[in-house]
Amino acid sequence: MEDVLQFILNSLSLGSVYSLFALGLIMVFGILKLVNFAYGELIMVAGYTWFVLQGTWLPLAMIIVIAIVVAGLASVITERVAFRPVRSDSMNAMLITSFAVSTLLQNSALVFVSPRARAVDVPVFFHTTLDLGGVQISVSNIVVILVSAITLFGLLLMMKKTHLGITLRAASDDFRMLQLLGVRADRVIVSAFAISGVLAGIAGFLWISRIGSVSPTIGMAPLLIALIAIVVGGMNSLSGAIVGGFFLGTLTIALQLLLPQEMLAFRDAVIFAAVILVLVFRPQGIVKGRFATERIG
Amino acid sequence: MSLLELSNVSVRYGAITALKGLDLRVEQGELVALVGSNGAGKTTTLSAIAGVHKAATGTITFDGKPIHTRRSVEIARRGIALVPEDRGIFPSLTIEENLRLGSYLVRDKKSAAAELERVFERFPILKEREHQGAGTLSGGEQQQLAIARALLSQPRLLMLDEPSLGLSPTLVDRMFEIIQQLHEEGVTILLVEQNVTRALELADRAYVLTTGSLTASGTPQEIMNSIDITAAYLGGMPSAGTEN
Repeated sequence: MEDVLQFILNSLSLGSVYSLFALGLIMVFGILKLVNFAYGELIMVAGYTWFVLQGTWLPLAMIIVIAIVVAGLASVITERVAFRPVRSDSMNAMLITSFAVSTLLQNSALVFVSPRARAVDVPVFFHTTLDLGGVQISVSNIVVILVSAITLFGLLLMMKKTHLGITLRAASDDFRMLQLLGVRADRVIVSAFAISGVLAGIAGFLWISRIGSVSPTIGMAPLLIALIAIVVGGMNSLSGAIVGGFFLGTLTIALQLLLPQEMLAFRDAVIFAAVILVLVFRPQGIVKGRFATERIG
Repeated sequence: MSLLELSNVSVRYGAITALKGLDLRVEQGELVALVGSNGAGKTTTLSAIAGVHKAATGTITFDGKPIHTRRSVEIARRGIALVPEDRGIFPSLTIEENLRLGSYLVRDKKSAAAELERVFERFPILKEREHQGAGTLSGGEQQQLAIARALLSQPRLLMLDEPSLGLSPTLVDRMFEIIQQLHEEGVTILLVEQNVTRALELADRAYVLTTGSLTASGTPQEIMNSIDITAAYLGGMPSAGTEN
């Protein structure tokens, strides 16, 4: 019983972080049809903001909020400086630009901070456990699940109820028609990048607090996870990203538990095999969505 | 001064010239029909006016100001609403949300609400299904939604691309009734239609396009009397409204 509860909590915790990663990536993909390879570096930016500010008098909560805002800003700046000028060119131009931005940011961290991982001060209580009627629950799991749940709920509420949310969903459906209604593309796109960056910041905080350090390449794993999650979940809807994230998270935890010790090294290989298997039977991903497949210039 | 004036407008898609030196004008309050067979350049004309495709030559002026160099967003903001052939509704939004985006440009919330009331009166089905997903609507309902959404922007010129396309005969009748009503209420309309007879019944003036060139223009009577129309245009055409 205890094991089952533990498994559920771990899956929920990892799955929700993965979902946030995937949501941030699909936010931009849904509208521009661009897989933003610089997405992982937004997580890195959040991490380094945390690292730089932890020596100051600022309380941790404040530092986290600033780190999330900085990630959002970084996302907006990359849109403005790098993506907007090439938006009307080919898809390849955008894709290569995103690689360039990614490399540029990674190397800046390498040069200006350090190639090695730097420790961030994760509060001690994160690594303690609570005893709930005989079941040991780690505080970090609870924090992750709570923060993710609030973020997820907030995002869905915003997409459903606010004018911006409606506009973003409409842009995913048919961007050209939205422009024919007088909605300016730039504003919609920059909002999508801002939301993507904030999600990267929040998910990055949760991710880095698990790892306890930040390095120039810290964004690579989250980017890969997000990409696989949206492919397997379905690239055409927000729910696809959420489903894909939880699918990967649960699978990872399950394999961690079920694979024999000497097989654990092959965990990721087994995950990829499972992903391929899903795609064989459902090439569109688990969730069929409605986004238009056409890209807008 | 005409509300809309096209002079010597050509549009090219790569090597193909889809529209050759078109002259066309629409006066305030007029219903102008643009007719012609498939591939004659009717949709291209609307795209050029809306700024979706740029004119290779010529000028387009709206309200005395040139718009052919402007982007589609700016043109929409000046009061030209296009209801495209594919209707362009947002399937993952509800009807109410689709309509809400229609009044995006209207700053005055009171007037937007009043217009929404009028639209609901005109299209009761939309009121009934307000919270339903727009993707679940039938073709006729989608067409009503698309026109309703365009009206909500309170356009100075409404451009309708094949509003009768794919509708059942009863719905085609209803659609033309709606267009006539709008016209009587003073909405300026540029109507593209395959259904020539119906379009000519309603229109103040009409233009006939054949493979990208203007072959006739004038009042419906003048066009009916002109000899080429049957040859240039009706040859081999399926009855309108059923074409895919």
